[in-house]
Amino acid sequence: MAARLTAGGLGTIAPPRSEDFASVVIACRPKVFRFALASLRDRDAAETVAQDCFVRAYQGWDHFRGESSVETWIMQIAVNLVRDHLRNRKLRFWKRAQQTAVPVETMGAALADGAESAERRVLLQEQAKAVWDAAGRLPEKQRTVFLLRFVEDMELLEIAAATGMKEGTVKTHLFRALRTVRERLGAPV
Amino acid sequence: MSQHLSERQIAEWSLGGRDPEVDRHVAYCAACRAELERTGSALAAFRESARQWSAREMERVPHTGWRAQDPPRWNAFRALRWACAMAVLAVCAGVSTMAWRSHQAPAQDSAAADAMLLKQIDADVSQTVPDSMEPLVKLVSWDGTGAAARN
Repeated sequence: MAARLTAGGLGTIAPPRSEDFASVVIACRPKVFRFALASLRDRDAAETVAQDCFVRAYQGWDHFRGESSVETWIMQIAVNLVRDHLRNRKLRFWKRAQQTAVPVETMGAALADGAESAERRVLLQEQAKAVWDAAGRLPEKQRTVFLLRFVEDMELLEIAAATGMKEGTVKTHLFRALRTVRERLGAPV
Repeated sequence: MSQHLSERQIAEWSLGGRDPEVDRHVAYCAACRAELERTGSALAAFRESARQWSAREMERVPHTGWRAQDPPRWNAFRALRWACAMAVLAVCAGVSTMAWRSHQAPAQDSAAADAMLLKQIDADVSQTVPDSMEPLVKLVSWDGTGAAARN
């Protein structure tokens, strides 16, 4: 199953055995949950997205052609679910109140692990907070590619496959997102 | 490169793209080097905070693992919800129908009564003389035979 997770170009893949799919869930769930949490900033919503994502992947396994890795395919489902969730939430404005603030302050010790001083730790916390603030204000597509790139470490081609955009479009969104983030961080050079 | 790095060059660098010209510039330009380090460390801090936050939140969510029967169970739950919704709709429809019928029955009664009243009024109006003059009509003939009798 590990090969299925990473290799592309496998052609039509048979429906997964339960234990095979369980290994997919174990491998991909942290990534899906993390992306959903960073996008929605709501733990319950992120968990719902993660569950729906794997249910859909299981049910739609026949449609997976192996043109990308299983992980990228799963992320494609997650991206669509997060987008749907965000659009639904626009109609339910009270859900905004349930968004949880990113607790950057409580992450200080581990965030600045190995930092030489308390001053450096505070600086890192402030920088992380500034990036979170900026990411929250980004347009949906820019935020999606930004999170996939800078939280999930996905390559541009993988992001393009997961979002259905062209690679050049992904790059353009990333450039714009980075400009906004850097502006939020402070005056550029 | 005489000027500082452009936004695009910094973005390219942040995405992992390496350009010998940028490397040469960064080697002697402390300002651009500081800018790249600042951007890089901010993005790394952001990435780390996202991963820590997610790991901590995931620990709070009970996850029982994946089983093949999970989707059918989920579907069964969904089907149950639909069944409940349909049952509520059916009850509402039944109540509405009963209410409509009970509202219609008096209306039908009053329509019948109205029809009878109209029929009676019709009959009264079509009479040539009022009821009070009926006895006189019996005594007088209007077709000329009465006049002959008088003569």
